Amino acid sequence: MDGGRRLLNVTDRALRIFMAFLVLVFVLYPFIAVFLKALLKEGSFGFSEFLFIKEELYLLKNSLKSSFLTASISTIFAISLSLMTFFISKRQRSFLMFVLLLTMVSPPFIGSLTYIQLFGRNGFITKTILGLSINPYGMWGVVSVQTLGFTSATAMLLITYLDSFDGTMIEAARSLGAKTSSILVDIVLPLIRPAILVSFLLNFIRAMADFTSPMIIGGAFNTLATEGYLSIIAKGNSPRASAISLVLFLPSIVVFIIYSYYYKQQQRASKNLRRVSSRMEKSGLYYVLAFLAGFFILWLLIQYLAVFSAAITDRYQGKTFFTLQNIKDARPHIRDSFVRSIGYSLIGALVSSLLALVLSYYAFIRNFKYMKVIDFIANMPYIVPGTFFGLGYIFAFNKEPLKLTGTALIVILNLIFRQLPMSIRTVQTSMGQIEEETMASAKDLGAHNLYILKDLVFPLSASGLFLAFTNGFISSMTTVGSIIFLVYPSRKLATLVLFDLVNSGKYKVASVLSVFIILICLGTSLVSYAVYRRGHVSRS
Amino acid sequence: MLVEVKNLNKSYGDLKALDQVSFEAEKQEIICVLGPSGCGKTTLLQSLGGFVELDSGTIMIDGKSIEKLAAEDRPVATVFQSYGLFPHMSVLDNIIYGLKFRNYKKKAARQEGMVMVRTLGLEGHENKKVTQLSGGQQQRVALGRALIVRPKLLLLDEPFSNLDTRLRDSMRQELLRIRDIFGITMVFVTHDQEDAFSIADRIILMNHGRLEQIGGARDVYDQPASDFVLNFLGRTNLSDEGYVRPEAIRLVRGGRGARIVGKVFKGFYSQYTVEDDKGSYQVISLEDDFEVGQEVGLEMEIRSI
Ligand SMILES: Nc1ncnc2c1ncn2[C@@H]1O[C@H](COP(=O)(O)OP(=O)(O)OP(=O)(O)O)[C@@H](O)[C@H]1O
Ligand SMILES: [Mg+2]
Repeated sequence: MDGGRRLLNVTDRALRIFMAFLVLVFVLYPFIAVFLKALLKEGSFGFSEFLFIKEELYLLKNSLKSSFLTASISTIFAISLSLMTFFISKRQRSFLMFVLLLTMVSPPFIGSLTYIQLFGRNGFITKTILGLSINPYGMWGVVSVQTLGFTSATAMLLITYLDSFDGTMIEAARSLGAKTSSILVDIVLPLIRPAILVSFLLNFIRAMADFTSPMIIGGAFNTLATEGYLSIIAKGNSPRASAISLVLFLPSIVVFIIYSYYYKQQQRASKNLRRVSSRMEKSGLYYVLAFLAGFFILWLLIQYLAVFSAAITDRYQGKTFFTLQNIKDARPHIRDSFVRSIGYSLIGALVSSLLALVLSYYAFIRNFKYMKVIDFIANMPYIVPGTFFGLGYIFAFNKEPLKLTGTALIVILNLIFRQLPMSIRTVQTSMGQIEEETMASAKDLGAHNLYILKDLVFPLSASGLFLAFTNGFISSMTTVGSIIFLVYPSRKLATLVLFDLVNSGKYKVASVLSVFIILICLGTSLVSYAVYRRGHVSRS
Repeated sequence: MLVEVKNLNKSYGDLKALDQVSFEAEKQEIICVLGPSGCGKTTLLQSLGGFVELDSGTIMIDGKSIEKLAAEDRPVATVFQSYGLFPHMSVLDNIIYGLKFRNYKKKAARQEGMVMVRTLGLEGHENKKVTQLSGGQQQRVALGRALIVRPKLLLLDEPFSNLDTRLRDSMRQELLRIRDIFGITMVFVTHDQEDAFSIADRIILMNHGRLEQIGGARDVYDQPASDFVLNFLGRTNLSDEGYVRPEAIRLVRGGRGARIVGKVFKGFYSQYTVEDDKGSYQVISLEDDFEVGQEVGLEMEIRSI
């Protein structure tokens, strides 16, 4: 009995320490590695690598300008989409959520791909319909593609925020005589300002870090992100790439702090609210919102229509016809890369949700102080540009004792720890619903802490784990930035193969690959949503 | 009649939340709606306020039918159970919000608002955020915000349920005072009988979406129209012949025929269980010196519905 207990205690301790070790090695160390690479030259500190900011100021300017535009426009669309939930029926809401989900499960450069096909020199809309031959490459192309790609995620974020909104306020305002426009301007917008700010900032850093859109459709329009990418890929200049990554990383720290602050506030605010689904009259500003939201959704649907039809059609002598040739052509690109992608993503998602559970357990149920620090570190990859995290892995793990470059392991580890912050959030939400009394009574009955983890915390967080797993899988399937430098050329993943295809102008085959990725991820999330709903219903 | 409500119906699927509800209210009248949880009180109030779309029925205020109007166009204001105060605005800005839609200049609105602040005893708090106020003060702000737009009808949904017993009592007095100052008509939803008995001119009893009885406090207590009303208001001893309220039975010292079998001391009164050859009764008495086992006589008048 006593010996058994001691063994449990040792295991408990070892698990804790191992957890901390993993986070320090696979999150903190890569971060430090990037800093060192950028700042350390021949053994001494210096900022000479940062001279590019002055010498090539246009890069910074381009990045700031296009990111500001993208962030503003996509935030406006996201606000319109989310506010529409006050006016639409349940059915329409499901449709909206489905359309937003579509972008979340798409590879990131699908926007660029369709942009070229629709608006390019031989674009379907510009050439075939309008008969124009314009140069589509440049900043506005980048901004429009980024807007289309980023809006959905922020709209989802705002909708979640609005769902915790006390509807009584809206009814109170109406009962005092406020019309729709006044309610929106006086009550709703001021109250969701923090969420709007967060949306704007998230979009801003995503746009700053995005190198794929400017690479594909920027033309002569270069940004910091493209320069960082090219520094490694084309010039092999890693100190310069690190310095650029650091510059891109700094704004994300600010965002991270603001985000964490409001995230906590929002959780507090929404704790005791009874959801009143309140509606407003369709008048005034509603029409502006409806126009913007409608425009966005139409644009998005056209994009998906374009990808799907490009995958199964071809044009010959001005005629468009149905064909399976594209799919046949795509076969050699799909075979290995998809199996690898799915395998890596499954492992990554599984491990990362389990790690999130163990970490949250020690940090927030057992309340170990140092585990809270570990939790903070584990959350750092949340908003850093993917390329930053990828570079960190190269610099950290290219020499003994941890020489991992070129292996599959380094890719999987990167996926795991890149995904960990999202998993932690999801798991913690469901873990927060376990009542303290439940655990206290288990302790009372003599259960060891490890058994509490296994018998109580694990099963009671199951829904959160499940969700974390699904989300982890989808975002690993669609990620590009963090793994692009890590993957061994002959062992590419699906998204990277796709990126190469788009870059080399094989748009038809690229469309086929895109469709496959979308279908896999969409299928996964719909199935898991159904399972999740089932589980919830049967329990309550 | 200021308010005339006729044949309101509202169903959620198979569930009838409102079933042919009709009543009227005079100017300055306070009507309390009383009933168990889920009987449709909130639905009734929300349909008057314009937040629930009715299946059928008419609502007239001052001779004009309003059931087709949107919530913001009705001469009705609501005080919600969770208040729905605007957390990003000061107390004064909350109170004067409704004046914005009644063509007030900002300055005039603030003056009017300060009058309301004083009427409600909120001086000194007008520039605070509403989140810095106590529950009772928030309640007053919610009330002031609704009153300032001079609605013809004020609706209150369990407005005191977040307050403790003492505060409730003073808010009840406050509400009566406000009625006298503003001459306003109110429909007040509660499931606290004491609220209803202390301020209502008339009480509506609801069950399963139906209006079971409407009348003054004495009427509904002394002449319940149905078993539901009888059981819902206070305790009752039932027998084959009828019913008798526990406080309507008198224990006769030195009498015969009944025996005390239980006694609970409740402070200013005592509650006894008494048995005679016909059955057992709950009796409430201000006298606390009867003992268990003692033989007593019973005086009562059995009533029937
Ligand atoms: N939006 C809705 N959809 C479906 N059913 C509803 C809806 N709103 C209310 N109901 C149902 O209608 C009935 C009446 O609800 P209502 O809120 O009016 O009750 P209530 O008397 O106010 O109860 P309480 O005292 O608990 O506040 C309940 O059975 C409730 O479940
Ligand atoms: Mg209610």
